[in-house]
Amino acid sequence: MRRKPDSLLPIELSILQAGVAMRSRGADEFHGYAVAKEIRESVEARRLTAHGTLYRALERLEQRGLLESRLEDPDLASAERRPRRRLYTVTALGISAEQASERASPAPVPGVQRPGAATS
Amino acid sequence: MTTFAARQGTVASSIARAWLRVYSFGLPSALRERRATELESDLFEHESDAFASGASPGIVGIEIIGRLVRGMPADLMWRFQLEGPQMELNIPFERVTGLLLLALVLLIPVAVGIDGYDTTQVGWASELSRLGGVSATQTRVNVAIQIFSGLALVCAAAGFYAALAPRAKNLSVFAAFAMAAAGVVTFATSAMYFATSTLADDYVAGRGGDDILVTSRALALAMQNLGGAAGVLLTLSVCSLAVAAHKHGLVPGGLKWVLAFSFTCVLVGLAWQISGRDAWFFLMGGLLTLLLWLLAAGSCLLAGVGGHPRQSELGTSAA
Repeated sequence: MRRKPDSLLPIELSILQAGVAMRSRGADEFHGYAVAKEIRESVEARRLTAHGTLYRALERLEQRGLLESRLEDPDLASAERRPRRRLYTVTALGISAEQASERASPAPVPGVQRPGAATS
Repeated sequence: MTTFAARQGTVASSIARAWLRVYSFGLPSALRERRATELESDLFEHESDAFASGASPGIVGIEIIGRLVRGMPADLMWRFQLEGPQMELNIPFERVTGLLLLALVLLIPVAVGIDGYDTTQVGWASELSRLGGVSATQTRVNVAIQIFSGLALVCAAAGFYAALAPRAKNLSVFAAFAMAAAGVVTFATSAMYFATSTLADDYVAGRGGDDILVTSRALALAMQNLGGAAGVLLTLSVCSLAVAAHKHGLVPGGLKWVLAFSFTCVLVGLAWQISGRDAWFFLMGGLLTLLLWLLAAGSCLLAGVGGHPRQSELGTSAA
């Protein structure tokens, strides 16, 4: 079944919600693992989102203009002796899409995993 | 925390990296690198975060493998979506061809090497006794190697066809057909070898008499001839591949002299064989020189030290 072009898949909505939540806590930019961890904590899931599912969804959201990304400064990564991160930001369009989806479906209740807010 | 336990997370990460290399093989480097950067960072953050919260390395390894396996369908979907008609793949066809040529260096001796028995009527009884003395395990190993060799030849034929058909259609069809046929012949030879070994066991155990000698000798003669047929098919196949490789400038031009020497040896050997003289020296010389060409051409293609592709070939290797 083909989905509507402007609709969001559950994993995409979860990513946007996680991004908005991190933004509200002052973290405007986030990397892939951080969003996987945020999703796991928000729905109190046991498992982290799978690599393939997560990065494919992040790429789709970026292509649709709901996220923006940049590679962080290599000096910062080498100073902290870790690999470079790709940092994502939820765009204004992304926030609107997240709010519209929130209105269309209720927010996740902690401890109850919404159908589709899957981690795979 | 043991050293082994601490290593498990790293092993899981290595598996995740290896999977990335598999599903992103042949994609443009920008796409591959983007995914690799993200995965590298994710693995590092995951391990650091989990170890900081006191998780055991074994659990972290299982988590990483779990994320990897659950994400595989999405990884494959991502790859398939990128394979649209507008996608320009950069399959390193020279490297693939080089690997296949090097594989042939190992496969050809196995495929044509099922020989060397004394099949004369006088000497066959002692030959069969010797064969009966070979352990059952050794026989199974020999058969397994032959079957693997036959399978590998059929797969290599498909690989050569896929790699070379866009450039040299007729030569690649001929080379692939001859190589696949050699693979099938190798299967048949392995079955005959197994049957002969079983008969040899019966002969050594005293179960049967002259009928075993006659049947097993017939099988051995058939094996010898099939080994020769596999050799001829593989020689024709490699010659076609060599002509295609030199015609399209894929390997250094100097190697054509090695090939010419091999052809000459084989032709002289065949002429001597027909005239009833012992041609072993020439045929073996031709085969060894052909293996030398395969080794040199395969190494050159693998290392990217090719010849000078024709001007019309330039820019088509990405197709």
